[in-house]
Amino acid sequence: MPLLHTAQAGGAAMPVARLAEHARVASQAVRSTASEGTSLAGGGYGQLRARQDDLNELAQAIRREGARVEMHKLFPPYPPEQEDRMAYLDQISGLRRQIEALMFPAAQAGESGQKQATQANDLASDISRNSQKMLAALNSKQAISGNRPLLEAVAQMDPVQ
Amino acid sequence: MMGMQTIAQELDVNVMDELAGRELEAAVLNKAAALLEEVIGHWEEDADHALLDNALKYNQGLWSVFQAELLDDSNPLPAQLRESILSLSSFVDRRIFEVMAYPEPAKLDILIRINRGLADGLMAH
Repeated sequence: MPLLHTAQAGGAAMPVARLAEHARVASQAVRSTASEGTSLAGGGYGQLRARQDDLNELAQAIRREGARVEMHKLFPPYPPEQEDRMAYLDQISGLRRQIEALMFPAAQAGESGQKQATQANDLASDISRNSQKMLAALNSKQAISGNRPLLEAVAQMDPVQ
Repeated sequence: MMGMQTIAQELDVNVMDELAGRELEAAVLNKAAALLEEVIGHWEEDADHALLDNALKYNQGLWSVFQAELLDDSNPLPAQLRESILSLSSFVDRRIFEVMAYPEPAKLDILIRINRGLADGLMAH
């Protein structure tokens, strides 16, 4: 997970070094999504939402349990002693990313987890500020998404259900 | 909850028709941020976290649009900006999962700041 890896390694890095790190992080993000990019292009929104629905259900189940769950014990769905199967499934990049993503909250327990979360927040804030500047510098007709109908549909989603 | 309903009604079809692409994106980003702020303001009342879930899912929907569009090779945005926003989308995804599983109002602050910041950038023209 690019942001977290950087947050863990970043520590008290100088701003310039962090900016350079941002570029590396961003490149990693694109590379990490590239393998599923072909399947996400076109109908990508629907596929993303379906995956998020699954993750939302899992998150809500964890919340209902009322206790911190070590998610690496919940997921992936195979016994840890089956090393061959684990290695095979880990090769599937999409699943591996899901596993890493699901381990993120569990990794934040305790004082070191708080520090890690703060670093991740700081890094995200830096990237957000840089993105804000780049957006401001764009041609006035350029937006993030070229898919206005989809954006309008999302905009009208009723948040009160 | 009246606050949520008011925010939900802000972006009706008539208003959206009048907005340029950047303005529309800024409006949706701000709406998503406002929903999260409303959740923080009503945290104690939202015992079952229904408002939280709805606000998070609204944000997910918006960021999924961005993510899907930016993953498309034909997206015309500069590579650096595209990569930065994709990085943010990855962070947003994980933060939403985390706060949905382990709800704490403070965890929403960064999501609000990201949305507001990008909206400001879009409206800078």
